[in-house]
Amino acid sequence: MSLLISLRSEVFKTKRTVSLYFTLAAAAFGPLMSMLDLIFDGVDKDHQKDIFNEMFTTKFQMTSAVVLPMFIILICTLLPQIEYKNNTWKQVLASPQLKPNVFFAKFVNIQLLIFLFIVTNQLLMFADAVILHFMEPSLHVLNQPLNVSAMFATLANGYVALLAMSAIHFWLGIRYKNFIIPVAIGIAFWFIGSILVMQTKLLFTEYFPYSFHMFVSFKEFQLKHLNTIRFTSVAYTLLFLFIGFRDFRKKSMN
Amino acid sequence: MANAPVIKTTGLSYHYSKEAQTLFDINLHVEKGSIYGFLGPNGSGKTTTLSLLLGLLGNQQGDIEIFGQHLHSNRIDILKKIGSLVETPSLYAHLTAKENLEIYRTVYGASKERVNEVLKITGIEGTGQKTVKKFSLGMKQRLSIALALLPNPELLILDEPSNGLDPAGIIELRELIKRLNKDYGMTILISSHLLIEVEKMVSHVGIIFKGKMLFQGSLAELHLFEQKGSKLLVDTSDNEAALKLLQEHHPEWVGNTLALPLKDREQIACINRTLTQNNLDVYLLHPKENNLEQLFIDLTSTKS
Repeated sequence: MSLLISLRSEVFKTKRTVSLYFTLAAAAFGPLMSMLDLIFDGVDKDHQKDIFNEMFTTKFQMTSAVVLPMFIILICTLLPQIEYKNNTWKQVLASPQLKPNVFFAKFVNIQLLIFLFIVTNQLLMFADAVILHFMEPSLHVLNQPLNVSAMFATLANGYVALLAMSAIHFWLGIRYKNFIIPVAIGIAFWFIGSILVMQTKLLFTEYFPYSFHMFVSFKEFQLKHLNTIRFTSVAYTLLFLFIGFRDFRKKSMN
Repeated sequence: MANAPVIKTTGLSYHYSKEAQTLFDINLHVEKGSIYGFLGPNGSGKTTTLSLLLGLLGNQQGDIEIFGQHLHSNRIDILKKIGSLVETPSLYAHLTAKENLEIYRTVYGASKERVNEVLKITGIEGTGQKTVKKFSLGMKQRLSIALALLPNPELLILDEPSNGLDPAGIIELRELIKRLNKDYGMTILISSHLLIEVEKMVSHVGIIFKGKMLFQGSLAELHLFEQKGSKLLVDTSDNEAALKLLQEHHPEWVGNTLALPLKDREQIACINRTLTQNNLDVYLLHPKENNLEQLFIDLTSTKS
Protein backbone atom coordinates (compact mmCIF):
# COMPACT_ATOMS: atom_id res chain seq x y z
CA MET A 1 0.00 0.00 0.00
CA SER A 2 2.73 2.46 0.92
CA LEU A 3 4.53 1.64 -2.35
CA LEU A 4 1.33 2.66 -4.16
CA ILE A 5 1.22 5.90 -2.17
CA SER A 6 4.83 6.63 -3.15
CA LEU A 7 4.01 5.70 -6.76
CA ARG A 8 1.04 8.08 -6.77
CA SER A 9 3.35 10.81 -5.52
CA GLU A 10 5.89 10.03 -8.27
CA VAL A 11 3.28 9.97 -11.02
CA PHE A 12 1.92 13.30 -9.78
CA LYS A 13 5.37 14.89 -10.04
CA THR A 14 5.46 14.21 -13.78
CA LYS A 15 2.28 16.24 -14.32
CA ARG A 16 2.92 19.24 -16.57
CA THR A 17 6.37 17.88 -17.49
CA VAL A 18 7.29 16.98 -21.06
CA SER A 19 7.70 13.31 -20.12
CA LEU A 20 4.18 12.33 -21.19
CA TYR A 21 4.35 14.23 -24.51
CA PHE A 22 7.87 12.94 -25.07
CA THR A 23 6.64 9.35 -24.55
CA LEU A 24 3.77 9.81 -26.98
CA ALA A 25 5.94 11.55 -29.57
CA ALA A 26 8.66 8.88 -29.35
CA ALA A 27 6.03 6.12 -29.62
CA ALA A 28 4.53 7.80 -32.70
CA PHE A 29 7.86 8.10 -34.50
CA GLY A 30 7.95 4.50 -35.83
CA PRO A 31 4.31 4.38 -37.05
CA LEU A 32 4.71 7.80 -38.65
CA MET A 33 7.84 6.74 -40.56
CA SER A 34 6.12 3.52 -41.51
CA MET A 35 3.11 5.43 -42.81
CA LEU A 36 5.30 7.77 -44.87
CA ASP A 37 7.14 4.75 -46.24
CA LEU A 38 3.85 3.11 -47.27
CA ILE A 39 2.56 6.31 -48.86
CA PHE A 40 5.66 7.10 -50.88
CA ASP A 41 7.15 3.67 -51.58
CA GLY A 42 4.09 1.44 -51.31
CA VAL A 43 4.16 -2.14 -50.04
CA ASP A 44 6.95 -4.42 -51.13
CA LYS A 45 5.62 -7.39 -53.15
CA ASP A 46 7.35 -9.88 -50.88
CA HIS A 47 5.52 -8.51 -47.86
CA GLN A 48 2.04 -8.04 -49.28
CA LYS A 49 0.76 -11.44 -48.14
CA ASP A 50 1.47 -10.96 -44.48
CA ILE A 51 1.61 -7.19 -44.16
CA PHE A 52 -0.70 -7.07 -41.12
CA ASN A 53 1.60 -9.27 -39.03
CA GLU A 54 4.67 -7.53 -40.43
CA MET A 55 3.40 -4.22 -39.10
CA PHE A 56 3.09 -5.52 -35.57
CA THR A 57 6.21 -7.62 -35.37
CA THR A 58 8.91 -6.51 -37.84
CA LYS A 59 8.12 -2.82 -37.40
CA PHE A 60 8.25 -3.10 -33.61
CA GLN A 61 11.52 -4.96 -33.91
CA MET A 62 12.88 -1.97 -35.80
CA THR A 63 11.50 0.37 -33.17
CA SER A 64 13.19 -1.62 -30.42
CA ALA A 65 16.51 -1.32 -32.27
CA VAL A 66 16.74 2.48 -32.20
CA VAL A 67 13.78 4.49 -30.94
CA LEU A 68 12.96 2.48 -27.80
CA PRO A 69 16.58 2.28 -26.53
CA MET A 70 17.00 6.04 -27.09
CA PHE A 71 13.70 6.69 -25.34
CA ILE A 72 14.74 4.50 -22.39
CA ILE A 73 18.14 6.18 -22.09
CA LEU A 74 16.54 9.62 -22.02
CA ILE A 75 13.48 8.93 -19.85
CA CYS A 76 15.39 6.88 -17.25
CA THR A 77 17.94 9.65 -16.94
CA LEU A 78 15.61 12.63 -17.08
CA LEU A 79 12.87 11.54 -14.68
CA PRO A 80 15.09 11.34 -11.57
CA GLN A 81 16.39 14.79 -12.57
CA ILE A 82 13.09 16.28 -11.34
CA GLU A 83 14.43 16.09 -7.79
CA TYR A 84 17.85 17.54 -8.63
CA LYS A 85 16.39 20.33 -10.75
CA ASN A 86 13.95 21.43 -8.05
CA ASN A 87 16.31 20.77 -5.15
CA THR A 88 13.70 18.50 -3.57
CA TRP A 89 15.65 15.38 -2.62
CA LYS A 90 15.86 16.38 1.05
CA GLN A 91 12.15 17.13 1.25
CA VAL A 92 11.34 13.73 -0.29
CA LEU A 93 13.62 11.89 2.10
CA ALA A 94 12.37 13.84 5.13
CA SER A 95 8.81 12.71 4.39
CA PRO A 96 7.48 9.53 6.03
CA GLN A 97 8.25 7.15 3.16
CA LEU A 98 10.46 4.09 3.28
CA LYS A 99 13.54 4.59 1.15
CA PRO A 100 12.92 1.35 -0.83
CA ASN A 101 9.43 2.66 -1.64
CA VAL A 102 10.79 5.98 -2.93
CA PHE A 103 13.39 4.18 -5.04
CA PHE A 104 11.10 1.52 -6.50
CA ALA A 105 8.19 3.93 -7.03
CA LYS A 106 10.49 5.98 -9.26
CA PHE A 107 11.52 2.85 -11.18
CA VAL A 108 7.92 1.66 -11.59
CA ASN A 109 6.92 5.14 -12.79
CA ILE A 110 9.51 4.83 -15.55
CA GLN A 111 8.29 1.33 -16.44
CA LEU A 112 4.74 2.70 -16.72
CA LEU A 113 5.98 5.22 -19.28
CA ILE A 114 7.76 2.44 -21.20
CA PHE A 115 4.48 0.47 -21.21
CA LEU A 116 2.69 3.56 -22.42
CA PHE A 117 5.25 3.85 -25.20
CA ILE A 118 4.68 0.26 -26.31
CA VAL A 119 0.88 0.45 -26.13
CA THR A 120 0.77 3.78 -28.00
CA ASN A 121 3.20 2.46 -30.60
CA GLN A 122 1.03 -0.58 -31.23
CA LEU A 123 -2.21 1.41 -31.36
CA LEU A 124 -0.71 3.80 -33.89
CA MET A 125 0.60 0.87 -35.87
CA PHE A 126 -2.94 -0.48 -35.94
CA ALA A 127 -4.07 2.94 -37.17
CA ASP A 128 -1.45 2.59 -39.93
CA ALA A 129 -2.94 -0.79 -40.83
CA VAL A 130 -6.45 0.68 -41.02
CA ILE A 131 -5.22 3.51 -43.24
CA LEU A 132 -3.38 1.03 -45.47
CA HIS A 133 -6.49 -1.15 -45.66
CA PHE A 134 -8.44 1.72 -47.19
CA MET A 135 -5.50 3.04 -49.19
CA GLU A 136 -4.78 -0.33 -50.81
CA PRO A 137 -8.08 -2.27 -50.69
CA SER A 138 -6.61 -5.03 -52.83
CA LEU A 139 -4.30 -6.04 -49.99
CA HIS A 140 -7.22 -6.77 -47.64
CA VAL A 141 -4.95 -5.89 -44.77
CA LEU A 142 -7.55 -6.13 -42.02
CA ASN A 143 -8.77 -9.46 -43.38
CA GLN A 144 -5.36 -11.05 -43.04
CA PRO A 145 -5.01 -13.34 -39.98
CA LEU A 146 -3.15 -11.72 -37.14
CA ASN A 147 -0.78 -13.90 -35.13
CA VAL A 148 -1.56 -12.42 -31.73
CA SER A 149 0.76 -14.71 -29.77
CA ALA A 150 3.69 -13.83 -32.06
CA MET A 151 2.86 -10.16 -31.62
CA PHE A 152 2.82 -10.39 -27.83
CA ALA A 153 5.98 -12.50 -27.86
CA THR A 154 7.75 -9.79 -29.89
CA LEU A 155 6.57 -7.06 -27.53
CA ALA A 156 7.52 -9.05 -24.44
CA ASN A 157 10.96 -9.91 -25.85
CA GLY A 158 11.57 -6.28 -26.76
CA TYR A 159 10.57 -5.10 -23.30
CA VAL A 160 12.53 -7.76 -21.40
CA ALA A 161 15.66 -7.27 -23.52
CA LEU A 162 15.66 -3.55 -22.78
CA LEU A 163 14.82 -3.93 -19.10
CA ALA A 164 18.52 -4.20 -18.19
CA MET A 165 19.27 -0.95 -20.00
CA SER A 166 16.45 0.79 -18.14
CA ALA A 167 17.77 -0.43 -14.77
CA ILE A 168 21.32 0.72 -15.58
CA HIS A 169 20.14 4.17 -16.69
CA PHE A 170 17.78 4.52 -13.77
CA TRP A 171 20.76 3.94 -11.48
CA LEU A 172 22.88 6.44 -13.43
CA GLY A 173 20.04 8.99 -13.45
CA ILE A 174 19.72 8.77 -9.66
CA ARG A 175 23.49 8.85 -9.19
CA TYR A 176 24.47 11.78 -11.38
CA LYS A 177 23.20 15.29 -10.86
CA ASN A 178 24.43 16.12 -14.35
CA PHE A 179 22.23 14.24 -16.83
CA ILE A 180 24.67 14.69 -19.72
CA ILE A 181 26.98 11.97 -18.36
CA PRO A 182 24.39 9.15 -18.26
CA VAL A 183 22.93 10.16 -21.63
CA ALA A 184 26.40 10.24 -23.22
CA ILE A 185 27.25 6.85 -21.70
CA GLY A 186 23.95 5.43 -22.97
CA ILE A 187 24.30 6.64 -26.54
CA ALA A 188 27.96 5.62 -26.78
CA PHE A 189 27.31 2.12 -25.39
CA TRP A 190 24.18 1.65 -27.53
CA PHE A 191 26.28 2.45 -30.60
CA ILE A 192 29.11 0.15 -29.51
CA GLY A 193 26.64 -2.61 -28.60
CA SER A 194 24.97 -2.39 -32.01
CA ILE A 195 28.25 -2.38 -33.94
CA LEU A 196 29.63 -5.31 -31.95
CA VAL A 197 26.71 -7.53 -32.91
CA MET A 198 26.60 -6.38 -36.54
CA GLN A 199 30.30 -6.54 -37.25
CA THR A 200 31.95 -9.03 -34.99
CA LYS A 201 29.12 -11.26 -33.73
CA LEU A 202 31.23 -11.97 -30.68
CA LEU A 203 29.81 -14.39 -28.16
CA PHE A 204 30.17 -11.96 -25.25
CA THR A 205 27.60 -9.61 -26.80
CA GLU A 206 25.05 -11.98 -25.28
CA TYR A 207 26.19 -10.60 -21.96
CA PHE A 208 26.56 -6.95 -22.98
CA PRO A 209 23.23 -5.25 -22.12
CA TYR A 210 23.67 -2.55 -24.76
CA SER A 211 23.67 -5.26 -27.46
CA PHE A 212 20.45 -6.96 -26.36
CA HIS A 213 18.14 -4.87 -28.55
CA MET A 214 19.93 -6.24 -31.61
CA PHE A 215 18.98 -9.81 -30.77
CA VAL A 216 15.31 -8.84 -30.64
CA SER A 217 15.44 -6.68 -33.74
CA PHE A 218 17.17 -9.00 -36.19
CA LYS A 219 15.75 -12.39 -36.94
CA GLU A 220 19.10 -14.00 -37.71
CA PHE A 221 20.16 -13.61 -34.06
CA GLN A 222 16.84 -14.43 -32.41
CA LEU A 223 16.66 -18.20 -32.46
CA LYS A 224 20.19 -18.73 -31.30
CA HIS A 225 20.41 -16.19 -28.51
CA LEU A 226 17.01 -15.01 -27.33
CA ASN A 227 16.69 -17.32 -24.31
CA THR A 228 20.10 -16.27 -22.99
CA ILE A 229 19.28 -12.62 -23.63
CA ARG A 230 16.01 -12.77 -21.70
CA PHE A 231 17.62 -14.46 -18.74
CA THR A 232 20.71 -12.21 -18.74
CA SER A 233 18.62 -9.05 -19.04
CA VAL A 234 16.50 -9.96 -16.01
CA ALA A 235 19.65 -10.86 -14.07
CA TYR A 236 21.25 -7.51 -14.98
CA THR A 237 18.05 -5.70 -14.00
CA LEU A 238 18.09 -7.26 -10.54
CA LEU A 239 21.82 -6.61 -10.18
CA PHE A 240 21.60 -2.93 -11.17
CA LEU A 241 18.50 -2.32 -9.07
CA PHE A 242 20.42 -3.75 -6.13
CA ILE A 243 23.50 -1.60 -6.88
CA GLY A 244 21.27 1.41 -7.53
CA PHE A 245 19.39 1.01 -4.28
CA ARG A 246 22.60 0.64 -2.26
CA ASP A 247 23.92 3.74 -3.95
CA PHE A 248 20.67 5.60 -3.32
CA ARG A 249 20.68 4.69 0.39
CA LYS A 250 24.30 5.73 0.73
CA LYS A 251 23.70 8.95 -1.17
CA SER A 252 20.61 9.83 0.87
CA MET A 253 22.64 9.45 4.05
CA ASN A 254 25.37 11.87 2.98
CA MET B 1 4.32 17.18 31.03
CA ALA B 2 5.01 20.84 30.17
CA ASN B 3 8.75 20.22 30.27
CA ALA B 4 8.70 16.87 28.47
CA PRO B 5 11.34 17.00 25.74
CA VAL B 6 10.02 16.59 22.23
CA ILE B 7 13.59 16.41 20.97
CA LYS B 8 16.43 15.06 23.05
CA THR B 9 19.86 14.38 21.64
CA THR B 10 22.62 12.89 23.69
CA GLY B 11 26.27 13.25 22.78
CA LEU B 12 25.52 13.82 19.11
CA SER B 13 28.68 14.03 17.02
CA TYR B 14 29.13 13.96 13.28
CA HIS B 15 31.87 14.23 10.68
CA TYR B 16 31.63 14.42 6.90
CA SER B 17 35.30 13.48 6.56
CA LYS B 18 37.75 12.02 9.03
CA GLU B 19 39.81 15.21 9.00
CA ALA B 20 36.98 17.60 9.84
CA GLN B 21 34.57 17.02 12.72
CA THR B 22 31.32 18.97 12.15
CA LEU B 23 29.45 18.38 15.42
CA PHE B 24 30.81 17.77 18.90
CA ASP B 25 28.70 16.36 21.70
CA ILE B 26 25.42 18.13 20.90
CA ASN B 27 22.83 17.73 23.65
CA LEU B 28 19.68 19.39 22.39
CA HIS B 29 16.69 19.59 24.66
CA VAL B 30 13.56 20.98 23.02
CA GLU B 31 10.59 21.18 25.34
CA LYS B 32 7.02 20.48 24.29
CA GLY B 33 5.16 23.64 23.31
CA SER B 34 8.29 25.74 23.00
CA ILE B 35 9.66 27.78 20.12
CA TYR B 36 13.32 26.86 20.13
CA GLY B 37 15.69 29.16 18.28
CA PHE B 38 18.71 27.25 17.06
CA LEU B 39 21.28 29.93 16.42
CA GLY B 40 24.69 30.02 14.90
CA PRO B 41 26.64 31.63 12.10
CA ASN B 42 26.79 29.96 8.69
CA GLY B 43 28.79 26.74 8.78
CA SER B 44 28.34 26.25 12.52
CA GLY B 45 26.52 22.91 12.16
CA LYS B 46 22.84 23.91 12.32
CA THR B 47 21.75 22.23 9.08
CA THR B 48 23.82 19.13 9.88
CA THR B 49 22.05 18.86 13.25
CA LEU B 50 18.62 19.31 11.66
CA SER B 51 19.47 16.79 8.94
CA LEU B 52 20.37 14.28 11.65
CA LEU B 53 17.06 14.98 13.42
CA LEU B 54 15.15 14.25 10.20
CA GLY B 55 17.12 11.10 9.44
CA LEU B 56 18.66 12.65 6.34
CA LEU B 57 22.11 11.83 7.66
CA GLY B 58 23.15 8.58 9.26
CA ASN B 59 23.73 8.83 12.98
CA GLN B 60 27.44 8.27 13.69
CA GLN B 61 27.72 8.91 17.39
CA GLY B 62 25.21 9.74 20.10
CA ASP B 63 21.50 9.22 20.38
CA ILE B 64 18.39 11.01 19.05
CA GLU B 65 15.02 10.72 20.72
CA ILE B 66 11.96 12.44 19.28
CA PHE B 67 8.57 12.19 21.01
CA GLY B 68 10.31 9.82 23.44
CA GLN B 69 11.14 7.33 20.66
CA HIS B 70 14.50 6.49 19.15
CA LEU B 71 14.67 8.07 15.71
CA HIS B 72 16.34 5.27 13.82
CA SER B 73 14.06 2.49 15.02
CA ASN B 74 10.85 4.56 14.57
CA ARG B 75 11.77 6.86 11.68
CA ILE B 76 8.51 6.65 9.72
CA ASP B 77 6.21 7.00 12.77
CA ILE B 78 8.18 10.00 13.96
CA LEU B 79 8.33 11.69 10.55
CA LYS B 80 4.53 11.42 10.24
CA LYS B 81 4.28 13.87 13.13
CA ILE B 82 6.96 16.28 11.91
CA GLY B 83 6.58 19.07 9.42
CA SER B 84 9.87 20.20 7.99
CA LEU B 85 11.32 22.85 5.78
CA VAL B 86 14.80 21.59 5.12
CA GLU B 87 16.15 23.69 2.35
CA THR B 88 14.26 26.48 0.66
CA PRO B 89 12.77 26.58 -1.86
CA SER B 90 12.20 22.84 -2.02
CA LEU B 91 9.26 22.77 -4.39
CA TYR B 92 8.36 21.49 -7.86
CA ALA B 93 8.56 24.62 -9.99
CA HIS B 94 6.42 23.24 -12.83
CA LEU B 95 3.42 22.59 -10.56
CA THR B 96 0.90 24.85 -8.82
CA ALA B 97 0.77 25.38 -5.05
CA LYS B 98 -2.08 22.89 -4.69
CA GLU B 99 -0.33 20.29 -6.86
CA ASN B 100 2.83 20.59 -4.78
CA LEU B 101 0.81 19.83 -1.67
CA GLU B 102 -1.07 17.05 -3.46
CA ILE B 103 2.23 15.20 -4.03
CA TYR B 104 2.66 14.80 -0.28
CA ARG B 105 -1.01 14.70 0.79
CA THR B 106 -1.41 10.92 0.75
CA VAL B 107 2.16 10.39 1.95
CA TYR B 108 1.20 12.22 5.16
CA GLY B 109 -2.33 10.80 5.15
CA ALA B 110 -3.82 14.31 5.03
CA SER B 111 -7.33 15.06 3.77
CA LYS B 112 -8.16 17.20 0.73
CA GLU B 113 -9.67 19.80 3.09
CA ARG B 114 -6.31 20.03 4.86
CA VAL B 115 -4.70 21.19 1.60
CA ASN B 116 -7.07 24.17 1.42
CA GLU B 117 -6.64 24.75 5.15
CA VAL B 118 -2.83 25.08 5.03
CA LEU B 119 -3.05 27.30 1.96
CA LYS B 120 -5.39 29.55 3.93
CA ILE B 121 -3.20 29.52 7.07
CA THR B 122 -0.19 30.63 5.03
CA GLY B 123 -2.20 33.13 2.98
CA ILE B 124 -1.60 31.68 -0.50
CA GLU B 125 -5.04 30.24 -1.18
CA GLY B 126 -5.62 32.51 -4.17
CA THR B 127 -2.71 31.42 -6.38
CA GLY B 128 -4.92 29.20 -8.57
CA GLN B 129 -3.22 27.83 -11.70
CA LYS B 130 -0.07 29.91 -11.25
CA THR B 131 2.93 27.58 -11.23
CA VAL B 132 5.56 27.86 -8.51
CA LYS B 133 8.24 29.11 -10.93
CA LYS B 134 6.21 32.32 -11.18
CA PHE B 135 6.03 32.76 -7.40
CA SER B 136 8.02 35.39 -5.52
CA LEU B 137 10.52 34.08 -2.95
CA GLY B 138 8.13 35.08 -0.17
CA MET B 139 5.32 33.05 -1.73
CA LYS B 140 7.63 30.07 -2.21
CA GLN B 141 8.58 30.32 1.46
CA ARG B 142 4.90 30.39 2.48
CA LEU B 143 4.21 27.36 0.32
CA SER B 144 7.15 25.54 1.90
CA ILE B 145 5.63 26.26 5.29
CA ALA B 146 2.21 25.14 4.03
CA LEU B 147 3.87 21.88 3.01
CA ALA B 148 5.42 21.54 6.45
CA LEU B 149 1.98 22.13 8.03
CA LEU B 150 0.24 19.54 5.84
CA PRO B 151 0.46 16.65 8.36
CA ASN B 152 -0.84 18.94 11.13
CA PRO B 153 2.48 18.28 12.85
CA GLU B 154 3.25 18.18 16.54
CA LEU B 155 6.76 19.36 15.74
CA LEU B 156 7.78 21.85 13.10
CA ILE B 157 11.43 21.98 12.05
CA LEU B 158 12.29 25.06 10.00
CA ASP B 159 15.79 25.54 8.63
CA GLU B 160 16.48 29.25 8.15
CA PRO B 161 12.93 30.03 6.96
CA SER B 162 13.50 33.79 6.73
CA ASN B 163 16.36 33.45 4.23
CA GLY B 164 15.78 35.79 1.32
CA LEU B 165 12.63 37.37 2.75
CA ASP B 166 12.16 41.14 2.80
CA PRO B 167 11.49 42.85 6.16
CA ALA B 168 7.71 42.68 5.71
CA GLY B 169 7.99 38.97 4.86
CA ILE B 170 10.10 38.36 7.95
CA ILE B 171 7.52 40.05 10.17
CA GLU B 172 4.70 38.01 8.59
CA LEU B 173 6.65 34.82 9.06
CA ARG B 174 7.33 35.67 12.69
CA GLU B 175 3.65 36.29 13.35
CA LEU B 176 2.73 33.04 11.60
CA ILE B 177 5.20 31.03 13.70
CA LYS B 178 3.91 32.61 16.90
CA ARG B 179 0.32 31.86 15.84
CA LEU B 180 1.07 28.24 15.03
CA ASN B 181 2.66 27.81 18.42
CA LYS B 182 -0.11 29.59 20.31
CA ASP B 183 -3.21 28.43 18.42
CA TYR B 184 -2.17 24.92 17.42
CA GLY B 185 0.24 24.11 20.27
CA MET B 186 3.02 23.17 17.84
CA THR B 187 6.53 22.78 19.12
CA ILE B 188 8.78 24.67 16.74
CA LEU B 189 12.49 24.33 16.17
CA ILE B 190 13.74 27.15 14.01
CA SER B 191 17.32 27.64 12.92
CA SER B 192 18.63 31.04 12.01
CA HIS B 193 21.62 33.28 11.87
CA LEU B 194 19.36 36.33 12.05
CA LEU B 195 19.60 36.78 15.79
CA ILE B 196 17.44 39.88 16.24
CA GLU B 197 14.68 38.19 14.31
CA VAL B 198 14.68 35.04 16.42
CA GLU B 199 14.90 36.91 19.71
CA LYS B 200 11.41 38.28 19.11
CA MET B 201 9.62 34.97 18.82
CA VAL B 202 11.44 32.20 20.64
CA SER B 203 10.91 30.90 24.15
CA HIS B 204 14.13 28.90 24.21
CA VAL B 205 17.51 29.35 22.61
CA GLY B 206 20.41 27.12 21.68
CA ILE B 207 23.59 28.70 20.35
CA ILE B 208 25.93 26.57 18.30
CA PHE B 209 29.35 27.61 17.06
CA LYS B 210 31.90 25.52 15.21
CA GLY B 211 29.85 22.41 15.98
CA LYS B 212 29.70 23.00 19.75
CA MET B 213 26.77 24.17 21.85
CA LEU B 214 27.74 27.36 23.64
CA PHE B 215 24.44 28.06 25.34
CA GLN B 216 21.10 26.37 25.77
CA GLY B 217 18.17 27.48 27.90
CA SER B 218 15.04 29.57 28.15
CA LEU B 219 14.91 33.18 27.02
CA ALA B 220 14.72 34.21 30.70
CA GLU B 221 17.94 32.31 31.40
CA LEU B 222 19.48 33.99 28.41
CA HIS B 223 18.46 37.43 29.68
CA LEU B 224 20.07 36.62 33.02
CA PHE B 225 23.17 35.68 31.09
CA GLU B 226 22.88 38.93 29.16
CA GLN B 227 22.64 40.93 32.37
CA LYS B 228 25.74 39.27 33.71
CA GLY B 229 27.55 40.22 30.57
CA SER B 230 26.55 43.92 30.58
CA LYS B 231 29.42 46.37 30.84
CA LEU B 232 29.97 50.05 31.54
CA LEU B 233 32.50 51.73 29.29
CA VAL B 234 34.40 54.57 30.97
CA ASP B 235 36.69 57.19 29.45
CA THR B 236 38.19 60.02 31.52
CA SER B 237 40.96 62.63 31.36
CA ASP B 238 43.23 60.13 33.21
CA ASN B 239 42.20 56.50 32.76
CA GLU B 240 45.22 55.19 34.74
CA ALA B 241 44.00 57.13 37.80
CA ALA B 242 40.43 56.00 37.14
CA LEU B 243 41.60 52.38 37.05
CA LYS B 244 43.03 52.74 40.57
CA LEU B 245 39.96 54.60 41.88
CA LEU B 246 37.51 51.99 40.52
CA GLN B 247 39.41 48.86 41.69
CA GLU B 248 36.39 47.61 43.69
CA HIS B 249 34.39 47.42 40.40
CA HIS B 250 37.02 45.18 38.75
CA PRO B 251 37.76 47.36 35.70
CA GLU B 252 39.72 46.14 32.70
CA TRP B 253 41.22 47.78 29.65
CA VAL B 254 39.26 47.72 26.40
CA GLY B 255 41.54 49.57 23.99
CA ASN B 256 42.14 52.99 25.59
CA THR B 257 38.97 52.92 27.66
CA LEU B 258 37.93 51.01 30.75
CA ALA B 259 35.15 48.42 30.96
CA LEU B 260 33.44 47.47 34.22
CA PRO B 261 30.82 44.81 34.92
CA LEU B 262 27.49 46.63 35.13
CA LYS B 263 25.00 45.70 37.84
CA ASP B 264 22.41 48.51 37.83
CA ARG B 265 21.81 52.22 37.05
CA GLU B 266 22.76 53.35 40.56
CA GLN B 267 26.22 51.93 40.01
CA ILE B 268 26.69 54.33 37.06
CA ALA B 269 25.84 57.34 39.26
CA CYS B 270 28.18 56.12 41.99
CA ILE B 271 31.08 55.71 39.54
CA ASN B 272 30.45 59.17 38.08
CA ARG B 273 30.54 60.69 41.56
CA THR B 274 33.79 58.91 42.46
CA LEU B 275 35.49 60.14 39.29
CA THR B 276 34.35 63.79 39.50
CA GLN B 277 35.07 64.04 43.22
CA ASN B 278 38.66 63.03 42.37
CA ASN B 279 38.94 65.82 39.77
CA LEU B 280 38.76 63.57 36.71
CA ASP B 281 36.91 64.84 33.65
CA VAL B 282 34.39 62.21 32.48
CA TYR B 283 34.16 61.97 28.68
CA LEU B 284 32.24 58.71 28.44
CA LEU B 285 30.01 56.62 30.67
CA HIS B 286 28.36 54.17 28.30
CA PRO B 287 26.30 51.22 29.54
CA LYS B 288 26.81 48.49 26.98
CA GLU B 289 23.98 46.04 27.53
CA ASN B 290 24.27 42.64 25.99
CA ASN B 291 21.42 41.93 23.65
CA LEU B 292 21.30 38.55 22.03
CA GLU B 293 23.21 39.88 19.07
CA GLN B 294 26.03 41.17 21.27
CA LEU B 295 25.97 38.08 23.44
CA PHE B 296 26.15 35.90 20.35
CA ILE B 297 29.11 37.84 19.00
CA ASP B 298 30.80 37.73 22.42
CA LEU B 299 30.19 34.03 22.87
CA THR B 300 31.35 33.10 19.41
CA SER B 301 34.35 35.44 19.32
CA THR B 302 35.56 34.32 22.76
CA LYS B 303 35.53 30.72 21.64
CA SER B 304 37.13 31.26 18.26
